Amino acid sequence: MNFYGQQEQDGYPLAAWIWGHRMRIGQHWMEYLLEFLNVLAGFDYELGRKDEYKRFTRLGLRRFVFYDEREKTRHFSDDQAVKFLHRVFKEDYIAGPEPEETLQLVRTLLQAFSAIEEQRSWYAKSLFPAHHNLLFWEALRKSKKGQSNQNATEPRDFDTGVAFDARNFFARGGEIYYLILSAGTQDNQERCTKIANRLKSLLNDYNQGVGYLAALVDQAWHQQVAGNDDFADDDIHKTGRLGWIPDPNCQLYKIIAEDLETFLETHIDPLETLDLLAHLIGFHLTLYIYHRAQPNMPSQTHMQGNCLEAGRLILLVDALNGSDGGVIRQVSATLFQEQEARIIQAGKEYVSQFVRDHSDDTDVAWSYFGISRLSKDTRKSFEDKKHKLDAAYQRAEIALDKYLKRYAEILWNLLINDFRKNFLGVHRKLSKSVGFVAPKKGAGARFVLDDNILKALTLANVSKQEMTYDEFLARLYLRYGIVVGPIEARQSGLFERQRINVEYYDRNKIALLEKMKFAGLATEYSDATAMIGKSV
Amino acid sequence: MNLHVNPFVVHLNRYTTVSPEHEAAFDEFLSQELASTTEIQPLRIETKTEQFIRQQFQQIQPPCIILTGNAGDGKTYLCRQIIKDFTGEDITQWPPEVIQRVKRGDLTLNVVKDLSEVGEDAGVKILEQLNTVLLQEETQDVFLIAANEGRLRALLSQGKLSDLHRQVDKQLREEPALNQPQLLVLNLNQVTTSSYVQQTIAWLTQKEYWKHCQECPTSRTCPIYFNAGQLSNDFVVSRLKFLYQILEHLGVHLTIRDMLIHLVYTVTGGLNCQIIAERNGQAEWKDQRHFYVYYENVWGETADEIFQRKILATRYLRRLDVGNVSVFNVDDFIINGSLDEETQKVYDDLLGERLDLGEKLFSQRRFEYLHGGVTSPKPEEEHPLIAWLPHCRRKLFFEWENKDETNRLLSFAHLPEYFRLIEGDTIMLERCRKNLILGLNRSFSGLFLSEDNNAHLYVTSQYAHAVEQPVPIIRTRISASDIELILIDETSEVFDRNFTKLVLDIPPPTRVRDADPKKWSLGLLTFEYLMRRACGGTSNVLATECELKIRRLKDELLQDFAQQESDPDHIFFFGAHKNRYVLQDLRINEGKIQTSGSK
Repeated sequence: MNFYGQQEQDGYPLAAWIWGHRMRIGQHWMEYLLEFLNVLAGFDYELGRKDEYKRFTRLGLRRFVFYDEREKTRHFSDDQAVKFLHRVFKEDYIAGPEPEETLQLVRTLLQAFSAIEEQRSWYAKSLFPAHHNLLFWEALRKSKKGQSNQNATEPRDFDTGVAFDARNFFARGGEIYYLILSAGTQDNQERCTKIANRLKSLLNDYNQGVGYLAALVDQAWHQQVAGNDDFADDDIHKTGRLGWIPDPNCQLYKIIAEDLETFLETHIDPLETLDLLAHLIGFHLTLYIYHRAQPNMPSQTHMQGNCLEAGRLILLVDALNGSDGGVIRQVSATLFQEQEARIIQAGKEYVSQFVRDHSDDTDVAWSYFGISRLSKDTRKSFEDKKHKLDAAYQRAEIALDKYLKRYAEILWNLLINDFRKNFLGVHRKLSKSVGFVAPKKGAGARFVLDDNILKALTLANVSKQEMTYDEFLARLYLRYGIVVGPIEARQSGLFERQRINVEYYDRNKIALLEKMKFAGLATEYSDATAMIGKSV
Repeated sequence: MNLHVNPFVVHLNRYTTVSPEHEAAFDEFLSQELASTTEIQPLRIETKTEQFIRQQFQQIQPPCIILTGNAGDGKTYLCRQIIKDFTGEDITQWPPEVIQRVKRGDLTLNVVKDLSEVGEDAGVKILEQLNTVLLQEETQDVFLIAANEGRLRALLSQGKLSDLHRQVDKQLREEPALNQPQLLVLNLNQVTTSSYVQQTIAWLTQKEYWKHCQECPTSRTCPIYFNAGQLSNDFVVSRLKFLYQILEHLGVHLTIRDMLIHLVYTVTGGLNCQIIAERNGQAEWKDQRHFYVYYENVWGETADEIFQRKILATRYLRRLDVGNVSVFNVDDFIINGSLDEETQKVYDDLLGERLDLGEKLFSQRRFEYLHGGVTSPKPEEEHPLIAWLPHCRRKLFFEWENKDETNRLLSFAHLPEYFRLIEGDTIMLERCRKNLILGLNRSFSGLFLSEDNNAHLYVTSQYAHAVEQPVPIIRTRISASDIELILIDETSEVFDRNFTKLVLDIPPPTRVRDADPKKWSLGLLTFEYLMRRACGGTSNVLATECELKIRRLKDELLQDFAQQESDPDHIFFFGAHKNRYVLQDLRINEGKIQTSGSK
């Protein structure tokens, strides 16, 4: 199998074999952006690297911002550490008559960038990367409360027991995005550099004041831990290794890289740019999941670079919001369900194929899918069934093809729990968070385009030269399979398949334009033509 | 009974889209009808644009002209007038050719009456021909092209026409290049249609067109005839025009066709002589007639939903929601009249027993309301008079000369200030300037900043999904005293444009020298919104309409004035302090953090 990144021989769950290593449900949508930027910065803002990236720990900064008396995971060491830090900070880093007030002001300012809260412990919270100095990697305090460190008095002891390789929340989704961009720019060095440089600039040239403050806070801690000012080296010695993605020549990767290049040309507020980037990433990764779940798409198709045409998605966006009596909504909801069914089907199909390919040694599945990591009971039940099946086959009660079919079934039944629990929901979570699927909660999920994602997509598709609304819609269809109006409905075959009146698509098209006009993304000059352009 | 039909009403019915033959509003129709009609002179609006183009084409070497505008702005009409001028003959039928060539001496005038009607390739070809002509030093060819703006832009972005594209775009965005004799781009969107309201109403209410009605037995109770009479009153017309002006200040452009259809509907209410005759035989008509008076028709009250949506004017006018909001002094007048003798006379004149008040209906209800009696409803029921209030308010809006009161029926709290500004009230200018800056500061930061935070315009940015309290960081600030509120008179020699624009002139901050000042024009809507944010009133009203526009201003200010970080060692932001938001700052000096302790 073709892959891009760092792949071990085997031992991955099923989803990884299809969608790469890896995406998991636990990752907050904003953490895809955070992880991606952490990885990129950890590679010194270079795409295409395959060695190890630095992980920023910044324990001083994160304790300063997040750890206080409301902390849900209180720990003796951290209590001490914060006390220590506050004292040092006030003594050495603050001038003026009211140091406590100044300290609180610094804290208030930094807290305003708190990106992930969600009832987590301080070490699992993150800051929105307004500046490079606000980037840090997910941590985990391994020593239990009161277990050790009770006698610790030295600052450096307070940091022991904190690890950076948990990957509960930085579950490699951001890495996947890094890999996609790297693979998508393999043959376009210019684009590769442009994207990396622009992101570097976004994280370093703006909000420098906030970055400076964050650095000072962290420095205050490191001075204590390391006993000197040379904090930079000490802070980044922890490193991480990338996961991998399949089929490095997939067309979608190029599209995604192209989108991002155009998107980054914008000059809107850097904070908004980063926020919209988070939306774009969520959208791209949702597409990626769908693209790889398209049926009848062998690796070859991706290799040959015609996978977009061969497996064009059909994602009907409902812009009418029910004003048509829910006709478009209904069709859109059906298509959404279809996408989810395809994800499951892709998993099932992969297992069958695997079993057929390894008919001579069916036990290879054990290590290939890392079955030893599953719970004892689950494994036991699988083993029992497998035994019975093997026995039946040896007694020649069933033929080989029947045997393989049955085996594929029980293997699938074994893997499906983990698949459902940890992967299947990812596309829902991502697409709903970025406003590509509504409603956020509850039944009747369907494709929509909320203001933010609409703006992100406009910025990603329209460079300096504006384009007509029709061209814009055609582009959305060709690149992502998004269907809005009657032309694309016909092209995609959706019109034939669903047999709803063409007027609904017309109204849908008008409704989306209204929305874009409202958001300042489109200008309608007359009854005939609307132009799509960047608002700034 | 003999049916009396006024041919003028028949003619008018062709304009309103509720009638099946609504083609009268199209020039293509008019030109054909012209020949046959003798009695009724079709409406002929004299426009500055027509005069201007005429003058241009009288020159020995006339310029090429592109006319853009929406469907209904009168592009085809203008083309026809020009051809007539050139050939001395009226065209009753447009020939099928895409380009119509008209000769005058050696000069050939190439007229394309609608670029949207020709295919894409043909359209590009025409523009290429135009381009060639423009590049020649001497030429006997002149072009007159009418096109929708969007279509024109789309075609120009194809082909190798980038130079022409730039020229056209510049003239469309700025103004016609009158000093540039080769190509003129005239955007009829610039026309303020309110300029034509008086002319059009004069035509609609011309006495001789209505003399037929005098012989009609139903004329005494006919709402159409009634409307024609009422609308000839100058004050009523001025109010109608005022409504159109309000729409223009809200950024709505109505085409001449929109206006025609709307004003005709205002007179007829979609009725005709036959319908009136039929309904006259029905008992309930007596209680319904007053629904068709002009001050109800003007909002499309009785029109069906499709008509309301299709006719731009009613679609927007309905949003002004006149009549549904109670204004004390207006309602008091409607119910109690006045103790002052003069005013009571006015009252009797306006609200006595009249056709548009259901003859005696309103007076009876009012009497019952004031004096009670057997017909009084139960306490939990609404008194029938209440149902009359919206109707009467609308009537007074048009007919009561006490404009200060009736203007409050428009749901804009700051409308009087706006129009006083527009008329050049300098005291108002200073007061509004301060409030607008405060409104912007509150809107930019999303916080209810107190009034003492108004020394600057603060351009802030913040993380949108902040879990904790948002802390907007000030990216740049502009001294409030440098920001001016100015009026720009947009009167034009090419268009009938009577419009004064209200503009906030924001200079770049002192350290950004090379940037141009930002000229931000405020319509009535944004004005209202910012004033509400500054003066109190619920900030969510109009938020959806205005927030994005304000957001865009902020984006532009950030881009033009704050591209470079000013001073990374000094951070200004708004933070909570003792239950309010105050300007805070943190300064980093040689590795030490300090606050100047803004309180």
